[in-house]
Amino acid sequence: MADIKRLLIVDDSEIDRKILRNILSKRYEIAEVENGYDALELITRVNSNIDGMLLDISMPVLDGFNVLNVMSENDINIPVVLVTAEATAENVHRASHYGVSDFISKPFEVQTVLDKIGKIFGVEEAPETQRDATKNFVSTETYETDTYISKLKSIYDDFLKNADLDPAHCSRVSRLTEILLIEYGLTHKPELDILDIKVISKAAYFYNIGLMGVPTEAVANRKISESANEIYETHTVMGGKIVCLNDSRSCKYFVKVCSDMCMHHHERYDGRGFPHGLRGSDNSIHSMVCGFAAAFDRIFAKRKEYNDIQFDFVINQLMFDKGAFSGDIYELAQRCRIQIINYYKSLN
Amino acid sequence: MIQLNKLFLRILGGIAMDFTFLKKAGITPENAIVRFMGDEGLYARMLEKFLDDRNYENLVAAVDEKDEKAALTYSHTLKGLCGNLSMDRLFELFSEQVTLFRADKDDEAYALMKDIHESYELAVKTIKEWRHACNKTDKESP
Repeated sequence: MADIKRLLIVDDSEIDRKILRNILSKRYEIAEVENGYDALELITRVNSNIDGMLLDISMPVLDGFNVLNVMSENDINIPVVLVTAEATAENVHRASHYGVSDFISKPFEVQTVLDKIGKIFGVEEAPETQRDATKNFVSTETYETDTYISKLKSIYDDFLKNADLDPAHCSRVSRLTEILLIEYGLTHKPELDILDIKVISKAAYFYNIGLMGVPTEAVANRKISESANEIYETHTVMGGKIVCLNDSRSCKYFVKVCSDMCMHHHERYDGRGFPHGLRGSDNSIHSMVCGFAAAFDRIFAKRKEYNDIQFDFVINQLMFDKGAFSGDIYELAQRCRIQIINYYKSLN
Repeated sequence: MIQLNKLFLRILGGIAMDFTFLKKAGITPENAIVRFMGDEGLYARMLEKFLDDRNYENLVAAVDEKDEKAALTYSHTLKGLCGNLSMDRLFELFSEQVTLFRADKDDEAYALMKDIHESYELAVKTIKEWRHACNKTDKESP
């Protein structure tokens, strides 16, 4: 029989401790303390046998990062999952210095908690039949959003295949959006939640889904015919409408950001884009980043090599079209240069 | 005290409780009960704990003293707490307040206290009424 792992829950909120205990106690042995000092006292005891820790970041008496600091200085190595109401990019960045295993966000989602802790200790996923039985306990929001994304992707991938378009481009736009938004969160908006960035980057995959509602002739002839171009430009609004067909409350955030990107990825910083001619920061940061990612990938993905020279070439090409993107977006891309180049290299 | 004991007897006895009453305070009990693995009794006990929680008083004091660092800490804690109890309205308000504090928009964050106060008082009043209603139903039961 496999040995049962012993977890320590460190949280000043009794309510939050009880919820976590209730979720985990069927699979793990649980200990609880309400502050960082007690946590350190317990894990340094000879016979405490703590195998892992769920550590709240924000606590009045010795917070989570201070606990991590003491652990690091004293070479105490046990897996730590940080618990927070805000998995901001700043927190993720700080946590990465301590080799934190993962994050759990408040409000807790039962399956996410079980999956993340299970992954650390190699606890097998529940078989399909058991998962069905526990489906009621999965967060409705995550479950429905993931289900919707999966269905939408299946339909969209079929369309891309039939229209001879490249699904890999959509995947790259999605990943580039994620890289750029994480950097944006670190430098401009520390409150930007890393989990929101994950949803936004998944949504970026569908930025061009409106093409499904536009005749292929209009797409093919948009550069030679004004009337075809007018029809082509409707793909933005069409995309927003397609995504909004799901009015489930659980998918609200995904639908909101996805439809926004579908609608506004062709807006320009100088206000000369379409469909609404949004100028500057009237457009959302995720739509601006998504539009940039799409334009960047169209050129960069075709380069024979992925290096600094090619990266600069593409940035210069894009900057040649003055007013398309803001200076901030170019700066953001420059700061992500190494990560972007390495990402493209990893695709080969 | 008698009321509290009766509620606990109800919880321990596994008698189904009607949580729909809580919805008028922007609470979504069905989502919370999912988070509590279907354990309605535990959820009821944690609602009781919420009434004893001092973070809100600490937040009010911090705002009165214009101590934005302390206010952010308490608001952040309340955000997590209300989120876990599916107090959606309060969760939204505390989320907004935390965002404003993080963006150094302290005055706007302080200005939210009026809405927060109204929602918090409504939540507390509703939980107390719900607790009272649970006990009353007990009394009327044969």
